[in-house]
Amino acid sequence: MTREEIIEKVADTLSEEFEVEKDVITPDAVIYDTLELDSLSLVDLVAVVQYTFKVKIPNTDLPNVKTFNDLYDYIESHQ
Amino acid sequence: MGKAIIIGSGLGGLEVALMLAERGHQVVVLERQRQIGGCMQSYRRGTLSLDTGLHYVGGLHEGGALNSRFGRLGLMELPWKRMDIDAFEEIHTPQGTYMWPQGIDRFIHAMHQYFPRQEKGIEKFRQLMTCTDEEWMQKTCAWDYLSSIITDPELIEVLSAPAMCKMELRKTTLPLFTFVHGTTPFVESSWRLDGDGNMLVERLARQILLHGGQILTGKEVTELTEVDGKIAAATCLDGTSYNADIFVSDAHPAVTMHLVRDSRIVKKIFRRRMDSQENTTGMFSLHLQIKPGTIKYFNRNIMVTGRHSVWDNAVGDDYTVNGIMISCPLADVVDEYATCIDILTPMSWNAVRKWEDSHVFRRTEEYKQMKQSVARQCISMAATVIPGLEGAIENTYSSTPLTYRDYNATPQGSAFGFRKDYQNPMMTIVSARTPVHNLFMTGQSLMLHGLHGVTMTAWQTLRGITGE
Repeated sequence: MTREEIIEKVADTLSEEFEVEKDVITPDAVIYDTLELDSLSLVDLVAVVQYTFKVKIPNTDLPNVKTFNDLYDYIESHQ
Repeated sequence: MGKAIIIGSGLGGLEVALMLAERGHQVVVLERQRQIGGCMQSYRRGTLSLDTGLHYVGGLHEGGALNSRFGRLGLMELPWKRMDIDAFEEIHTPQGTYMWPQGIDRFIHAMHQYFPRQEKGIEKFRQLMTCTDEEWMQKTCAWDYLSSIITDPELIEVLSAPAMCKMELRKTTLPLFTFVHGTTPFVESSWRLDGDGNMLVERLARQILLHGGQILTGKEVTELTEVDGKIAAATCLDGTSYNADIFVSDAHPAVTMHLVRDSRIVKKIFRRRMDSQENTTGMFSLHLQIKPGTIKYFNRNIMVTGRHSVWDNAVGDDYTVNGIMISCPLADVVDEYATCIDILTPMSWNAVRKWEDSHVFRRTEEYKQMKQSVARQCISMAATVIPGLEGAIENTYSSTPLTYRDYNATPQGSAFGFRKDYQNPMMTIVSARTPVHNLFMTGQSLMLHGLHGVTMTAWQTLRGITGE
């Protein structure tokens, strides 16, 4: 999957699954604030990424995934 | 203290209900069935009281894993009887017979006697039994670990056989954590209740009532209504509705989240995650009514394994029984003779899937024949270690994963709830908290199953609610 495809798919799936508007998902936006994540729903983010991209984000890597740009990078390098 | 609604009266639901009632909450338990107890309930057939969920309990000794928790719930006052110290598990494989004594040192000593060439592996197994590194055990594959420390497949079989009906022995997913929790407390001390599962259920129920709580049966909750970001009421199939400050569901998590229909808080992904979790295998339970004075009570479990390993040995759609656990309920003993013997074998959903549209008392003839065939195999396997068994049977009663599904509202009749996966502990271990801050969950699907696991989970749920 190209980076453009990843960006498009992240926007599609996260807006659908977390019920937010698609246009709030921008490269520099902070994922936690945008999706209103807490320690519980953080697992849901991991779940979406796993279901959609077949990429697992282990606990230890989560602190490094802050913005959507970080997420695109992570998926791109682990797919 | 506020009002709390508990949905479901399984062990976890009743334990949380009691703990909240003791802390001053006004508790109402809503149970969809006429009988309370969930997997712990016993059912009557003739003069017998039959259990599908309760066979024996580990760690009730002073200082044991379950002793203080059961003590605080008033359950240590029940008539627990210690199983045979020298042989609480008797294992028959095609290659030999092995006895498990109680006490870690005695157990390890016995394994050294049986397998003198596996000294290093057995010592590593001893260390594993007392391991406290939960995170590591959650992330480690039980099968891979056992295979890495033990080179003799027969020893792995002997160490695993008693777990056959206590957990899903699945090579590709079972975390070491589940294996150890289902093994160590039992080796430390194993007990049978001189009574049926209802005795335990009634004990909890009585205390809930004494603390001013209510338990209502025939109350199937069909909707949890969310108002201003929290659950305001539970509505039942009969049209009644119950308001509360706190809601705790002991139902399967996927079932629970379907009750919250129009939610501002619960996102699609959370429901999807609960729906997409895999369930563990089910169980085929066979109860044999024994003619009076024919077979003596045995104060141990007997495992019989066949040519296949106890790992991944559930009865599938070929309807072949690969291994059984035989238990002798203490409650029905008359003059040292058994009046009932239970036989269990794991059974997958695949084995009963084709009858999934049928319900209790309305099954097809083909389904009944399948049950009879599986029962016959169980009996002939048991007869190899209990002489005279076949001629001593007066009556048989059996249940399958379909029975479990219909009585306990457990998807796929799963015996142990959600399947935990060592490759993905974060996703498969479910929190007691939900996205709705006054809705909590409890029960076997969350962290750990079994009496011990469900009780530990009930405390976790309590911590989520009260912060204790």
